[in-house]
Amino acid sequence: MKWLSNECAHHRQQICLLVSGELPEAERGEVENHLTECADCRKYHDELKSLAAPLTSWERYFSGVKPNEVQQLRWANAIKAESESKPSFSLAKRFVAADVSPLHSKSTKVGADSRRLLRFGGSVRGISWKTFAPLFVMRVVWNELIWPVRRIWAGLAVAWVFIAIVNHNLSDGRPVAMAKDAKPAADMFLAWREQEWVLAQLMGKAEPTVIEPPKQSAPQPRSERRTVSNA
Amino acid sequence: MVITDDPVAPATELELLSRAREGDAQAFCLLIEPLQTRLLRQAAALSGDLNASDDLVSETLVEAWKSLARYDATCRLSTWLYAILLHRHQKTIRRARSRPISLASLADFEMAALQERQQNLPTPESSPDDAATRRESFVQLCRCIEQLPQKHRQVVLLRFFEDAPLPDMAAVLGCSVGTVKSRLHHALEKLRKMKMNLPDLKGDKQI
Repeated sequence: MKWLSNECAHHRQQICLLVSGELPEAERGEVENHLTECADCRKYHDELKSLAAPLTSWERYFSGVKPNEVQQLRWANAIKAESESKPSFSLAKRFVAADVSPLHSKSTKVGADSRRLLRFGGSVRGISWKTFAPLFVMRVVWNELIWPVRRIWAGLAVAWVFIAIVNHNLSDGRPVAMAKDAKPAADMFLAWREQEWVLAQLMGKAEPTVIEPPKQSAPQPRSERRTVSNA
Repeated sequence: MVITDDPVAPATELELLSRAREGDAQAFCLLIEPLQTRLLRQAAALSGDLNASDDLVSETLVEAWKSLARYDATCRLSTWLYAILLHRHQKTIRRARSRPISLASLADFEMAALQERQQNLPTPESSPDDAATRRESFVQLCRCIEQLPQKHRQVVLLRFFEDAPLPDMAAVLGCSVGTVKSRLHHALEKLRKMKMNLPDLKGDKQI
């Protein structure tokens, strides 16, 4: 493989543009001078020219292809049907995607969208710009507050996750008494008294004791207290 | 193209465009009417099937009508339509899981019909053999274009099939003019290498 000189490598892209017809007039003279001097680039130019020739004249192979009236009518009907149908969600998305208030911009494409949307009011009465207001606000927040400083937000999120993990690992866990399957305090007291009575029986110190549940700490209403004292 | 009974006053392209943006379908149809023939030919060149190209143009025009608000006039309307055509064609191919561009199959079944139509038209070729040679080289070149990566295929199709200038291609593709130049260079370089590997195209310099 032959290595290109820097000058040739520089001119290869310009030769492509020359063949494509997109080289500016100011650069054309320079490239043509180089082509007269460099045989390799001249060969390259000729190859590209022969390559591009069928492409530039592609339309003559299809000169017999023309739309007839039936096709044109069908296309027009498709457009008409689309225009008479209710606006698609893509229209709504563009409605929301606008960076200006859609209803107050009459000279912009957004205004055209909004007027188009409103013109279809008979079929889509439920849709108004208020429907898309939350999405509009979310988009503004995203564009103005989050996306410009996205790295800072990403750093804050990582720090928050790290702190949450450390906090979770350092916590003592849930207390036993607060567990869902823990026994109520009164039952525990009764079980303890029962075990104490069984132990006393085994040691010969058994006395017939009546195991009473502890008094409920629920206060008595004042009205009932009064009736008891009167009685 | 007539879709309503209301007469349309002659208007400039900008007026039609502004009316179409406001939802006037009739103005949109008048706007695209001069572009339909070329669009159908481009669709035929892409799909290689006249019926498929008819559907492709219909889908393209409907899509253009739906997204007309996104057209910002940074490129020609025909270039914008062709970009939509390319996109729709790629979408159709992905959906059908067929060959990326069946333009090369034009030689098998559609080219015969096209050739029959062209018999009554004045052809630039000097002889039928010359015309057949040119047509064959064009079909083989289209096969080479099919094998290009998508970004390179797009610039080649936009440049040669739509005749789009560099700024328009940059606007349609959403990249800089320098990127378009680079892609065009690489695409032509790849096409040249492919063509060099084709033995039956090596002696095709006179085209």
